Amino acid sequence: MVPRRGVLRLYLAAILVLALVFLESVTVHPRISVSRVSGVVNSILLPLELGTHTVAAWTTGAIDTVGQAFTAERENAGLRIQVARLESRVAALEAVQGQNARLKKLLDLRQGSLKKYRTLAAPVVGRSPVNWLDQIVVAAGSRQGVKYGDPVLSYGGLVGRVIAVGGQSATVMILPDPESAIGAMVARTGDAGVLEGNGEASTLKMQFFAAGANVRQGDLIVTSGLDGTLPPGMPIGRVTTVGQGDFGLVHQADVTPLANLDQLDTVLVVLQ
Amino acid sequence: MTFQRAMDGPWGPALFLLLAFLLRATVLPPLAIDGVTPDLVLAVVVMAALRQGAWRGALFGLVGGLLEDVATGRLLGMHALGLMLGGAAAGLLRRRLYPDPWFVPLLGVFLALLAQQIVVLLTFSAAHFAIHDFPLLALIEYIYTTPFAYIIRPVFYRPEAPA
Repeated sequence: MVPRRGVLRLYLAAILVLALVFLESVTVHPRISVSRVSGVVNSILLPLELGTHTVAAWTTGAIDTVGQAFTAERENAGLRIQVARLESRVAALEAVQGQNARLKKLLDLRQGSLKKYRTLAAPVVGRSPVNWLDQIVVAAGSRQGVKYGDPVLSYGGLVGRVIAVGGQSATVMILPDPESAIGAMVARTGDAGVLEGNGEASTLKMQFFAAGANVRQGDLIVTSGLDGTLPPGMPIGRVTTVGQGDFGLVHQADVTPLANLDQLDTVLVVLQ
Repeated sequence: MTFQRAMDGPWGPALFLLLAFLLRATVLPPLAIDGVTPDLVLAVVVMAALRQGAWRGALFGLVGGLLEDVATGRLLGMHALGLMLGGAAAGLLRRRLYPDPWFVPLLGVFLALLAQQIVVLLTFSAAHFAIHDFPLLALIEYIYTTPFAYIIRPVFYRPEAPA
């Protein structure tokens, strides 16, 4: 007896569900093989993302100008349009000024603590297309020397590390990602642990290896290099609260990242 | 080919899926509340499912989710599975609730997000990933996504009875 079409579809759906669950289980952590596929897809999407980015910025500016022009009264419409145009120019200049200031800080970082590394400035052209994974797409890839695992910094400190590389683009897992785990230590005392993301851009959780770590509010947290992927000594954040465990011993702390992870427009990729 | 015919086939909604994906990755991030942006891809899947039914809804969900999974490069299948189930759930609504009362997109987005978030939660707990305030973030995602479903509703709306 031949099964009906609906039953066949149900079988197909069940097989698909099982296949997707299997695929999930084997790709739960970033892998270079998956990273290559993802890199290729992101490279294909890159021109579209760049285009959408540019059109959106242009449209926002145009809508602002037109919106202001429409509200102008009839008798001095011309004058108001001029004012609106000037205002939009001032706004654009302020945006450029802000971007300049941020780029200058990046340059300071490059010429200061990162002097011993080869770095590459890359514009951020996209963010994670999903809510539960925190990552960004930068317009620099294998052709510019970017490799899987390269650390990425913004002015202030560490942002994350590269998890997928295409020809002209790379995907960076940023610190708040629930899968992000960075080997870190207290710069003052050298007490080491793991800094984990939990989806929150403003607070990261640091779990210390030893109970009774010597850490206090305001301490600088830097990479320890113990995870074997990131060079030691890169600034990450500052301790905001210290968690007391059993017998009053410190075993964890909340850390606020030094980099503003909500406002990333250009980043530095440390080429390893 | 007319616009209505294109929207009844696979290519019209597929084009909207790609557009939604690009907008979400490039334009929406500055509008994030607590790191949450409106799930435009899910809104398109829900509206396409309400127009074309459960099976097509599942197919659009699978395609949209796979696009997100491949672009993120890990946990391949998590969003594909969640959106496929979500699309199917939303597609079942139209047949049950015809002639399309106003609250159908509200319910469709809720069901689709619920399906997706259950898959995300199960995956994260299996992989020992922690998310701070998951219920709050899920609520923000629902409140933030629903208006977009209503904004795109006229594009997908078909007044005649489902086949």
